[in-house]
Amino acid sequence: MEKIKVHIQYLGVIRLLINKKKEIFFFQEKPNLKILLETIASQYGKEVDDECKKQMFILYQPGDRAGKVMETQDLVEDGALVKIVSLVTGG
Amino acid sequence: MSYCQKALRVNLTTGIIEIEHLSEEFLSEYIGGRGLNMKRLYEEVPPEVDALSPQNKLFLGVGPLTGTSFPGSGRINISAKSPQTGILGDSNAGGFFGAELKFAGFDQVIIEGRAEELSYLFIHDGKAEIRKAEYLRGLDVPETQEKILKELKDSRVQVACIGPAAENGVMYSGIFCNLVRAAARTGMGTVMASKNLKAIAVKGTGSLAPKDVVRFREIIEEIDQQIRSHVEYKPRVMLGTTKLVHALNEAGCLATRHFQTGRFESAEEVSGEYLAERYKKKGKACFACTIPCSRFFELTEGKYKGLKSEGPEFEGLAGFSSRVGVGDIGSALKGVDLCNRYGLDVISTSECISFAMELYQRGIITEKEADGLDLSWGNSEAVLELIEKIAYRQGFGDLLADGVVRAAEKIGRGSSEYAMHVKGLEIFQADPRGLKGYALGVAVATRGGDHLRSEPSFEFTENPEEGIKRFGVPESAFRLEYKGKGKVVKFYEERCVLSDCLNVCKNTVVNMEILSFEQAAELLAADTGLAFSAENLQKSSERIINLERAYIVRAGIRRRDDTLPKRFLTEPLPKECGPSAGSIVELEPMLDEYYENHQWDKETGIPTREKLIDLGLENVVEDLLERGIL
Repeated sequence: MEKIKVHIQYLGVIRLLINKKKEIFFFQEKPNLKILLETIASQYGKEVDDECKKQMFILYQPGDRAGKVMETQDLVEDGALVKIVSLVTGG
Repeated sequence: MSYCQKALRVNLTTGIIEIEHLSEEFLSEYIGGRGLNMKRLYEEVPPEVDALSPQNKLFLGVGPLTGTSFPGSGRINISAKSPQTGILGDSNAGGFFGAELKFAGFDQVIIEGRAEELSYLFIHDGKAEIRKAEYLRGLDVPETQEKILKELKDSRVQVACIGPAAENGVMYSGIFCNLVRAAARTGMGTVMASKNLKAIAVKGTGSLAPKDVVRFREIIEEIDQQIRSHVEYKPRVMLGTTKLVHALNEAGCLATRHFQTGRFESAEEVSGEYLAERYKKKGKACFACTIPCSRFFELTEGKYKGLKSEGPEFEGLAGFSSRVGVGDIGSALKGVDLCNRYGLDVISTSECISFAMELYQRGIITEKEADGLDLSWGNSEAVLELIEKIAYRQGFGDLLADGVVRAAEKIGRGSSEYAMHVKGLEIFQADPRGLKGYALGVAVATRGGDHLRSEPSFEFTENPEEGIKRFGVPESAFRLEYKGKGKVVKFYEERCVLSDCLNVCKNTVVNMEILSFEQAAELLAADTGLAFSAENLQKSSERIINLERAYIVRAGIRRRDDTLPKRFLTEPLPKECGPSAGSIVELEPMLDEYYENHQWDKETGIPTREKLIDLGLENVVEDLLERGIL
């Protein structure tokens, strides 16, 4: 069955918590934000799941070099890159 | 900790040192720290005073929470007329110095005149003395601290000092506490140097317990709990402000090659994550802080192997990396280290250098004019060499040492268009086109191009319901929208004033929005025994903002000066900036809304008579009337 390959790049707190910069996940269907979160939670547990929910997910669909902030309804295409990064806050 | 109710007035010309009583009325109306300083600045340093003359005064102020167990309560405000901008000078530093001043028995120090020979001030337990400092001349910040501690035979003394940059008259020199805690902006170090004052050393063993110890402690425990459960707690502990390199880069508004774009291709190599993984030794906190957002690092490889220090903050890290096109973290950290040693403001220094690099790129200046330096983007050696040249006013560095406005004036050839400043103060490492509330805040900040006068971080929440609930419009919660930002900026200005008057950290009080006005009032009442209320505190904050506005209006500032460099108003962020691509700053409607919310005249930006009277600033009204401004 065709699989959807999604590249994940961890930045910010998540990267330091799991000590990992990137990962590839495979899905049967195009995942949305909820499914991505569930997948990461199942892999790394509650603490990471809790922190992930506070992060910004930047979606780079195949061929897109600019990226956009991922919204709930967005579906991730095969070959896309998703960066999980800390929210911009003051400093 | 309460108030000491004492100010130390030191006249360096006459050598006379006096202690002044601070009334409860003064303290209630102006709270502490920045508030006390601004009141004095308005009354004692009129616009006619030359900022580098003995008539300018340096004010150091701490707040009623300074030295208590409130998280991050060791901060201090240092203020004067700014030699860099010619208007309000004010700077704020963390660390431990502020707390020590409180333990020594003072809420405020006023330094006036000029010493005949290079001196330092030693304040200890209610007393002060002016000491000879010729042996400290030319020493950098760490050397100065080391020698003073050796002379005083006490390693627990806290030292605030200037480096060689200030002694050489560099206009954006700072005053450094705890080596790297910089009261950097607006040239307060330059003022200190003009007074022939090299350092202020403080030792205090006093203790002022809160009036209601039990209630004070209860509220502090609530605050600590709020901090630990806050969504920002972990990021701050693990990365501090260095997290902003990747965060802003992904948002498409990281200052890159002097704001020519908002995305840096080498962001990973200069990120906070990269630093934490490779070089962080351990976390570090300021006085009494629950959040160890800083760090000690040591470079274990590369050209600068062995470099170790505390820090950096985001502004320094990005200033000597993305802003100048350098993708090597070692070099960026070296740049920050040099600024700390020489006593330079990292934001102004990085702007002056990146300005020169853009001029070089555009052929407006040549390699010959830049002392033979190849100012191509990414040439880290040229950047580091320029920092030294600026600190010692050598060659091309001498031209840059007066700030980007004066540098552009001297160069001419249309270079002013590329000077990224507001009212003479160089701007920070985020692109205003990607943060419109911040853009407005920077345009109207009373000390010039500064992001810390308001820090409207609400615009990152992207929650339209919250936008409506808090500021009446959904767009207020979105950084790329301009509607509602006038209200948002005003709100956060008041939070910043509260933070600076209590002299606690803005990370907690402003960015994390810990400590409401109600909670602050209750805490201060328990601390001082004085009757504080949320309404009075908010009014005091507004009073201080209006006083500052009046100060700069008195110096000639009007609506026309509340602006931004042309690039941010007219040139959209390029396509590679992802979520921020295509954005410019719609400043005029935001300014209209801002003035309206402040009840200031929309045409001029001058506070109205009614507003000033409502805030109890009748003396300011009188002064402005006499000057023909009102």
